[in-house]
Amino acid sequence: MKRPKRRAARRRAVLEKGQPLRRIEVTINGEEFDLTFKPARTLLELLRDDLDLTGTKEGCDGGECGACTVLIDDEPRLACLTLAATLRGKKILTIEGLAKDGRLHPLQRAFLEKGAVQCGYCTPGVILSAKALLDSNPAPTEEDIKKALAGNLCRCTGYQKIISAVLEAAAAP
Amino acid sequence: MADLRVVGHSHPRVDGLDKVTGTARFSPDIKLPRMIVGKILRSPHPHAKVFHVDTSRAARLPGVKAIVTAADTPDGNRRSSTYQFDDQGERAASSTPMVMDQTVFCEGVARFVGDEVAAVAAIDEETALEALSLIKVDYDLLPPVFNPLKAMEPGAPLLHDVERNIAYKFVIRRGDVEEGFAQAHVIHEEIYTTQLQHQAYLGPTACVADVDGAGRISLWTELQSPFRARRLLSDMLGLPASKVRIFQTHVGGGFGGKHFKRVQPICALLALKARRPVRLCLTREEEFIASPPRHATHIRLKMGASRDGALVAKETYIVLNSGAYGEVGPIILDTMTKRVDSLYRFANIKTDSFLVYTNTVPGGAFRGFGNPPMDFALESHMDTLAEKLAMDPVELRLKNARRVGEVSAHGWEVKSCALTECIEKAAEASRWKEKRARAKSSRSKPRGIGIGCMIHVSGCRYYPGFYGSNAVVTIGDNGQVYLLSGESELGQGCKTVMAQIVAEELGIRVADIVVPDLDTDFSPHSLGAYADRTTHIGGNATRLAAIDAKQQLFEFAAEMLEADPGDLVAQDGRIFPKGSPQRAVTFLEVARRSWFRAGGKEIVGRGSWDPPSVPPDPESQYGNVSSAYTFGAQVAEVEVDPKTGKVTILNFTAAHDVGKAINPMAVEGQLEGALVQGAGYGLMEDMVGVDGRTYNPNFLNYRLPTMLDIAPMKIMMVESNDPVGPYGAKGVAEPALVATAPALANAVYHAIGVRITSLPVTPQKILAALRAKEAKRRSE
Ligand code: FES
Ligand code: FES
Repeated sequence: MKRPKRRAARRRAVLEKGQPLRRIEVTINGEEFDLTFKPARTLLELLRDDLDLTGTKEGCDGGECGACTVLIDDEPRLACLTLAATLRGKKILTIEGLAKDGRLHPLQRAFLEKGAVQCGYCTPGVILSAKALLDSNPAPTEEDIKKALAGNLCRCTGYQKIISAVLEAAAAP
Repeated sequence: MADLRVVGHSHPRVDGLDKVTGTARFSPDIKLPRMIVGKILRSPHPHAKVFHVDTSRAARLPGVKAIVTAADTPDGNRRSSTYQFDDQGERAASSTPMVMDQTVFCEGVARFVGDEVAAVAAIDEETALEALSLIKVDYDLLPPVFNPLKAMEPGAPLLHDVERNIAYKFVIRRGDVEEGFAQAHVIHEEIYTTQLQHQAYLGPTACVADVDGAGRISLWTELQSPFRARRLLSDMLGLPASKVRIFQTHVGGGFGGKHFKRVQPICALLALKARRPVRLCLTREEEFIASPPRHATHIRLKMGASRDGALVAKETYIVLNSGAYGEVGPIILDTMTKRVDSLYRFANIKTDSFLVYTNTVPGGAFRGFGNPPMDFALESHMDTLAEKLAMDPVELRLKNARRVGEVSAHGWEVKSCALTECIEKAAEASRWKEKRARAKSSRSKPRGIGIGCMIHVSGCRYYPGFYGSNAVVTIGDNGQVYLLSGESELGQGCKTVMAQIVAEELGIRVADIVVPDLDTDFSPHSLGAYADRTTHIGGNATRLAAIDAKQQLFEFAAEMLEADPGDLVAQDGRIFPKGSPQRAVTFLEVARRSWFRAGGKEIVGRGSWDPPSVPPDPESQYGNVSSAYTFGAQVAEVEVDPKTGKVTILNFTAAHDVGKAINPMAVEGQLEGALVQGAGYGLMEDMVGVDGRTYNPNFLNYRLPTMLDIAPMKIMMVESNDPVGPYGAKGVAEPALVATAPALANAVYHAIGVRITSLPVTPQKILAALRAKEAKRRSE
């Protein structure tokens, strides 16, 4: 069995020593940002710690749970494994940017109505993975959904209601 | 109860909007001004004397604001997670006393890999980790013991000051087992073992602590029992309870794993020392190695049945691997020892059970609480007995099934019970007869179908003091209603269920009700989320509070309607005299009047409910511990590949006696979630320990079921309308996991004829069993 890979914060501090700060322009939830940070900053840290966008969750910090899923240029990505420095000029969508002018996205509505949320910790990541799926495949089958969301762990719901919610959102006008 | 308008109807979660928009704050999301970061130093050794902890170098590191060790903890900071009080709030000498063996930090001896030795708070995570590496601990290695059976042998290394490492034990005798076995037509004996399963809630445990100028400490954290935590914290920190305040954040899943842990007192100590807010958040690895998972168990079971299938004797020997500390082990052992005995009509019972210390991670509460491992053994055994009797497994269970009105061997009074109906419904809906008879040899991947039954409690009283719940319902200036409950929302949906109860009683919409987050300064005292007590007990208290508020409101309505308050009805946002809906005033008008009119008052409805249950007698262990027992039957159909040993679940059929489903969608969600967790327990999840080290402390190697692992689930809620529960409701969250693993193991046996007696049922075990079977066939 493989030994777990852990974030080696200390090793990172050594690596970063003497390295210049990174500066990028990036669009997050439609808003433009000009950000400066240490070279090894992950997108997850940038969102949660620097910008206080805590809707993106950290479940493992190792790319294993999907709770930190966000959309980068419309593709689902794990924020805990993404270096912020690589995001120059990119468009990022987090859960906070999904509802438009107070109107819920059909996925958000369907997750509520179908009971696809329990503790809600996986929910932001699951919804964003599902959005990426629906954007590229507006009428997915159950199998399509399972494949697209296999990387998002949920310990509460047993997944069945998540599948129903995604199907419902796909069918929404 | 024919015309319930809100209760009994599916309702979306009241906290759902917050959760789907990303605004819901969980404990790791809390950020306060000047907040710094805490980190814990843990023992790398399973058993070692801790001679000296030298923090001087760490203290000199710039950015370090506080370091705490055992030396910073007040004397007498011993604790147990259990909460057992007599009527003066003193620790009760109850049927299962607490094991007071754990302190904030390990003192003098580290007893498992992960045992907390010291903690640091610093301006950022990097500095905190750097500081940990500068703390020098002198360890003197002690011989460890990992296997509980070895730990009980004379001469084994001792973890605590108890003989043979036995932290607790039960000796139960009912009827006459010798006599029972003498009457048996078939007898079967087997050893079963079960593994460590982690709760693996997706949201890690965090705590943010802040101390004000008056020395009052506030904590934002995730707890299943905040009031218990306040009590334990004040004990452990040596502070009066008035100086401790707990705010419950959203909880990222609990399943038993979000009870009070060392995280909270350590975070509090850091904040007290640093005089700055501190956030301490466990990493996923720390969650695995040091948060109490479901215990590993060893069970020897011997049972006899008469020719017609009556269970005539049961003899059980249980060893529960407690790990390094007792935690809630004694009451989990209690559950393992007694619970399944009330599922069937056992009369002759002999059980010896032991909670045994070893140098492994301490076990703790997890959905089902000792019931799942024992139910796995019992229900596996039932199938073997059925085979020996040439009887259908369903028939054997029906023959022995508990029935309403009976009192079990341990004194449990069964006031509602739909076990027989559950078994019949599950069998019918799964096409049991047809599939059971199916010729299986024709397939390259044989299919099998198996059943498991279960019993559980709705709250379980282990001590004589208050075991109830309190609730407060107030009505605001614009007709908005506030519901304060001391029960914990973990994601299971209790806020919604309680709001539905209030809406039902006040004749308003759920949307008109505000359910604030729990705050121990303002929320009424309740015991919290465990033992499936929340809906049954908290629901009753909430209902009484709503009725009390309604009666006060009716006084004002009566003035307006010139009617007798006792004669009024509240329905659809209106209040009117019974039979005269045309004379209605609106709820809003009455609420406003109560608030604004001269001589009015703020309506505050109070509800308290302590269930009519009794703790087991300390000697005989006899006593009706719960006010409502839950039952269920689950059928699993599987396909097994004999070449690879891989088990594919084809479908589940689950019929559960829920009493009354207050929110059917939420009940279904509990059942589905539990089935998948139960399938994880049955087939894949296993914390692998080698020499006291957990080798898979991450989701890559500790595999949880994903969306690709699930199968269709047919859920049937059977409503037995319990006479005590609110609207007839009983607990549902825990029962749904209990019978899943045995249903799967029985289905595997039906498919390929090998019985796996140790969980999880992995491909390796199946292949080994198939090979052994083949070897035996050849040699015969
Ligand atoms: S936190 Fe990124 S995958 Fe788990
Ligand atoms: S709802 Fe709790 S993890 Fe998915």
